[in-house]
Amino acid sequence: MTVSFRTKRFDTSIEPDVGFNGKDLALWLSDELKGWEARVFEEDWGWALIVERAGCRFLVGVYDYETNDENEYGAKWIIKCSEEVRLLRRLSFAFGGTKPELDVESVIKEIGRILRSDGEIHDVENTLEP
Amino acid sequence: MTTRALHSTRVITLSGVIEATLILADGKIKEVLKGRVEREGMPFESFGEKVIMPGVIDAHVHINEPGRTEWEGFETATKAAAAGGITTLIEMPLNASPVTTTVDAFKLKLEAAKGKLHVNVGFYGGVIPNNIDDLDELLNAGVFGIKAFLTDSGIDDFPNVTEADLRKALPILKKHGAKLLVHCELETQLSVVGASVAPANARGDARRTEQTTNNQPRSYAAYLASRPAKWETDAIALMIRLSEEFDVHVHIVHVSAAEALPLIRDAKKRGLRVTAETCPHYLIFCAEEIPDGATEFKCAPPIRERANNELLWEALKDGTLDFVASDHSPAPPDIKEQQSGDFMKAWGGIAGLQFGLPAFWTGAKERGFSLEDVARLLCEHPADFLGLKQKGRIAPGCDADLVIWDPEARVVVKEEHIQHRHKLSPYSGRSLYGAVDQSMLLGCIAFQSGAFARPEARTLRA
Repeated sequence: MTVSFRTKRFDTSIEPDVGFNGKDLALWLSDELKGWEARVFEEDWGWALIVERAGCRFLVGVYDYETNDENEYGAKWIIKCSEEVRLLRRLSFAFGGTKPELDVESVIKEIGRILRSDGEIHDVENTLEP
Repeated sequence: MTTRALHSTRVITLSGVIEATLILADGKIKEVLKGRVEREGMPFESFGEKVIMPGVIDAHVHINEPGRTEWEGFETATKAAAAGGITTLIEMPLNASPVTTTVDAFKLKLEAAKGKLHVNVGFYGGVIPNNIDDLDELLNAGVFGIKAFLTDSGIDDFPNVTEADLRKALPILKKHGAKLLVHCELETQLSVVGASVAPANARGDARRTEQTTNNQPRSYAAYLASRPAKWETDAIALMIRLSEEFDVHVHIVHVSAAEALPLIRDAKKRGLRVTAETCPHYLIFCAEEIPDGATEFKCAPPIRERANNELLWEALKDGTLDFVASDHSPAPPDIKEQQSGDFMKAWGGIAGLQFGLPAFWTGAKERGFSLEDVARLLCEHPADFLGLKQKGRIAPGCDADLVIWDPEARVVVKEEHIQHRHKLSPYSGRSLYGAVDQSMLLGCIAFQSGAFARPEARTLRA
């Protein structure tokens, strides 16, 4: 699941070695995700976070959609999330264990709420994957 | 050839560096006598303290003839080799046109070499996606191994193979007991961890670094980043796996990334038939010192950082890397983009054939390597690798292919010294230890104090 938005808040020049920008956004998001354990890491394509809460773990990729796709609100950014389901939990659920309380949708909703509450961020919307 | 005696206080023999007299007859080393032995009526020449060593065997050279002789040809390359103490070299199947992927092309190459050789030359064949059916014939014709690329070779007629292609080729190589030599770089796919949240059009390291280099085409750091160590390690891991599965001797050419060394070490420990070479330029140059725009340093894989390169030296010491070869791959200055200094456009290849021995020795002596180590890594091990049982060592019965050189002499490389067709070389202006006095093939002089003779150099078959 993904959420897209536009902003001029995040620097697109700080990490020129990476195919997609996102370090600035990743660091900001890791601060804003209160109550989550968030770790920013550099991927071979750009930037991502591992976020964890209540034993649930998710991967969050952050990147600019196209570096030259800008309007008056700034560049278009994408945040994409997928669940990292651990084998033991997967097995436990398959054999009748309890369903985890968090899923990808809840993480994306949380991120969407954070984005919408920031005055410098615009056009926040859930979107199909680019 | 008349029987004659050569003497030096430093002859590199299988039992170490000793004062010895070599008796040469009929192109062979007939006797190795301890000390100075002058026999009545036998011509005798002493070289004093200069080192008598087996002629260097360079197992990795691109000569480009026929088809691209304006880049480098047999005449110029083998002159450079003789001047550098090399008495045998093995030529790679690409950069000439046609590429050596069929027996007909091999015959053309043999024809092109006729009458032009100053040192012995053998040849590798190549495997590309559409010549699997030609490998049998090529191997029967006497190539020393089959070369493959896992990434773009830079030559359109020599496309890289995939794992699927290799799976078809390897049984043929196994049948012949032949070696597969592999340029090990594999463009990385997205890492497994982050792939699920990556942009749809992300392409891993390639994507990131392509952007980088496009923005900074003269930057060496950007070029280096464009060919990460992971490309090498991924490719080497694949080749080790295939070597094990097919029980075929896989040789990894020009190892540059130290990250790959544990893989090779482990493969050897497990008894797999895996060997590996590195090149003088990966050992004595370092990324930190390569100026932007200095495309004479461009090669693939790239020259990496100093700390990386120190680990390559250690790997030569502990046997993880088997030998050193030049990977001489020259090109005219315009193809090297000397004007623009654009690393992305420049031909990737180092012109260094003539300087392999002094360059290696210059770095080696600083790190405590001995003259025996030099003979082992430049002569004996390449000979073993190639199955040249008569070469690469000073012992009775071996070919009298010798180099006589002064390891203490310091030489600044100047254009007028360079025998390659083009003078552009990263070794230009370098001060190197080791001056070659004479190179000898079957006891006949090929090079002596700046002058060349054309001895009985020949094309070699496996």
